[in-house]
Amino acid sequence: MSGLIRAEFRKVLTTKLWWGMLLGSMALAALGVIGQIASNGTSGNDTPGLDTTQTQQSVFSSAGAAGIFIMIVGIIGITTEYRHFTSRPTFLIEPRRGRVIVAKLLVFAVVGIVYSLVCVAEAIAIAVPWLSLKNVSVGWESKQIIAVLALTALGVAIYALVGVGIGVLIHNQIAAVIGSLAYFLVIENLISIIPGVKVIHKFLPGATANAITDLGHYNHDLLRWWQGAILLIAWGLFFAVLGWVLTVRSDVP
Amino acid sequence: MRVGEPPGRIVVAALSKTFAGGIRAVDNLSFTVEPGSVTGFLGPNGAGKTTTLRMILGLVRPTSGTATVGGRRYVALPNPLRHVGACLEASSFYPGRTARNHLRVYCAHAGLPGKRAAEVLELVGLSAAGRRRVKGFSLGMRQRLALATAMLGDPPVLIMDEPTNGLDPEGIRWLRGFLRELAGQGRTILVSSHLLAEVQQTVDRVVILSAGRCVRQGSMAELAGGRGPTTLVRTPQVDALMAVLTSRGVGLTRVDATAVRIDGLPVPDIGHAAFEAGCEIHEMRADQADLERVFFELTSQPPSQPHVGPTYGQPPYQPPYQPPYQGPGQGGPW
Ligand SMILES: Nc1ncnc2c1ncn2[C@@H]1O[C@H](COP(=O)(O)OP(=O)(O)O)[C@@H](O)[C@H]1O
Ligand SMILES: Nc1ncnc2c1ncn2[C@@H]1O[C@H](COP(=O)(O)OP(=O)(O)O)[C@@H](O)[C@H]1O
Ligand SMILES: [Mg+2]
Ligand SMILES: [Mg+2]
Repeated sequence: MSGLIRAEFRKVLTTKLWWGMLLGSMALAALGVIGQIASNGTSGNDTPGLDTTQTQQSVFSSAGAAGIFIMIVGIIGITTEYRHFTSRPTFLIEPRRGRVIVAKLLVFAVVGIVYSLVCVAEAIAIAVPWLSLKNVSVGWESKQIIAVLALTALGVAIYALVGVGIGVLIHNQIAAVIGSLAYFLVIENLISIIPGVKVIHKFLPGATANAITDLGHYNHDLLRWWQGAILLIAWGLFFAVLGWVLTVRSDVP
Repeated sequence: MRVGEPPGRIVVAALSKTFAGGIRAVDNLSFTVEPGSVTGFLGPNGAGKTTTLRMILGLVRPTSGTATVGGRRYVALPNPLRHVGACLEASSFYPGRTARNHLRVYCAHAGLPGKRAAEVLELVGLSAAGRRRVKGFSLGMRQRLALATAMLGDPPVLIMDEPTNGLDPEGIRWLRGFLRELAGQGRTILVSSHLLAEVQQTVDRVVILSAGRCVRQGSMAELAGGRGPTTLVRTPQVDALMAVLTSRGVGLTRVDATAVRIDGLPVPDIGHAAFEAGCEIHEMRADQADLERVFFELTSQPPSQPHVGPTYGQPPYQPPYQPPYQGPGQGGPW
């Protein structure tokens, strides 16, 4: 198993993908933070002022926008094997396919943690000087801000698991990437406004991810942060296990 | 592991595969490949060669039957990279990764030191291209890289699916020598091809497949119908030569006004007979076309017909030990 994990790390580090996607994640995190600060107090924006803990939490947690990127990295990490037929050497060296899936989940969780820490550090680097220019002090002493930073990193890292899970379930790279983007950016938002099915929205992956960083439970349409974390991990593992069950006996392309 | 099973023996027993849609790609196939020999796995396109090899390697699930290497199913082998090397038909590389990094990934996977990557690149003559991305490789270079991947674990068994595809004549000659050398070290080699001519200089034995069934297995000599070598002789005195050979009961066929095909008689004996008969020899050579004809006849049977052939109902081959390599071949197509 340790050889398998080292091999999976080598696969990530010997391509340019992880590097490009990290830049993409950082760009998205920066946009999230900048958007929150810049729009605060403008007309039509009724969020509380930048000096409130609630808004400061929401500023820092907008770095979690990077989660979508690390999810794509997870999807690509597994579907690339099918796309370029490296699934053959991989399963020739490790015919027990479940082990390969477990190794990928572990490795991409670590990659996700690295991404998330970089994005959180970036959020601090942008927000803290900017807020002090506006003569707003960050409420570090409440410990709430620290907790939100940690939970933002956690949420981003869990997205990597969801990505690997989706990749195990849907081997076609284009279908998996387009499908999951459509789901997280469009379909889930639609579900949240359709009257009849609205009640299930808070249990869906995107909403559970949002719940993770809502430490003060300001949004009552979401679960509590720890419920969200557990449920999002469960979603990732569910996709992976379902994919494993459906494909473990099928022929390797 | 079964007691006494040599680690390098491949046993395919009553193997069948029916794909979704009802295509019976492999039909009740049985054969054995012995260590220290090169076995050619032959058949026209679509005969089921790739499917069989992929079933041996655990990539395709048999509908029924078993395939074992050293007495175990592939998926039950501990660290299979050290046991079986496989080169499959299409290339399986991430295009943006360098050849060296490709190999280093699998070194890590199998617990081999990273320097093994450089060793196998050297082995297949790709050292100079090791730091280049695979997307710039020609087909021949990809075949060599696939072979390098297969050799990483220094395996006693090598399984190759049409490895000569995309190789130039120099590459094919090199591969032929490489396989002979590996077999000489006592390894088991199973190599598929749709061309008999491509492998006949390299292989000791053949398993011939047609429409998913085994139509013949045995040594190259047995393939020629047990008649031994066939020789084509060209001489202006065909009738005189035929008369003297017929009087000794040698089987022969007249090809045209100046040529005769002689079955089973060693070349020195033919030369002696010609000398006695006072014939002037213009040409005397091993007749490859004859084997090619046998191969064609075997594999062009209509698939629906129940096949009756020399291997029908025969138990799996139990070989007498034979030294794998009998010196340089007679100089065939390559
Ligand atoms: N995945 C598959 N699904 C359906 N049919 C297949 C599949 N793979 C191979 N076949 C069919 O099985 C037969 C044998 O194919 P193959 O093993 O590739 O033959 P060969 O390697 O001898 O050319 C062919 O008719 C082919 O079309
Ligand atoms: N896109 C490319 N990038 C880098 N090197 C390449 C590329 N295409 C071909 N080459 C290299 O150029 C040489 C000639 O390749 P190629 O034209 O494919 O040869 P052939 O078709 O005769 O086998 C090889 O060394 C090959 O690796
Ligand atoms: Mg084939
Ligand atoms: Mg070319």
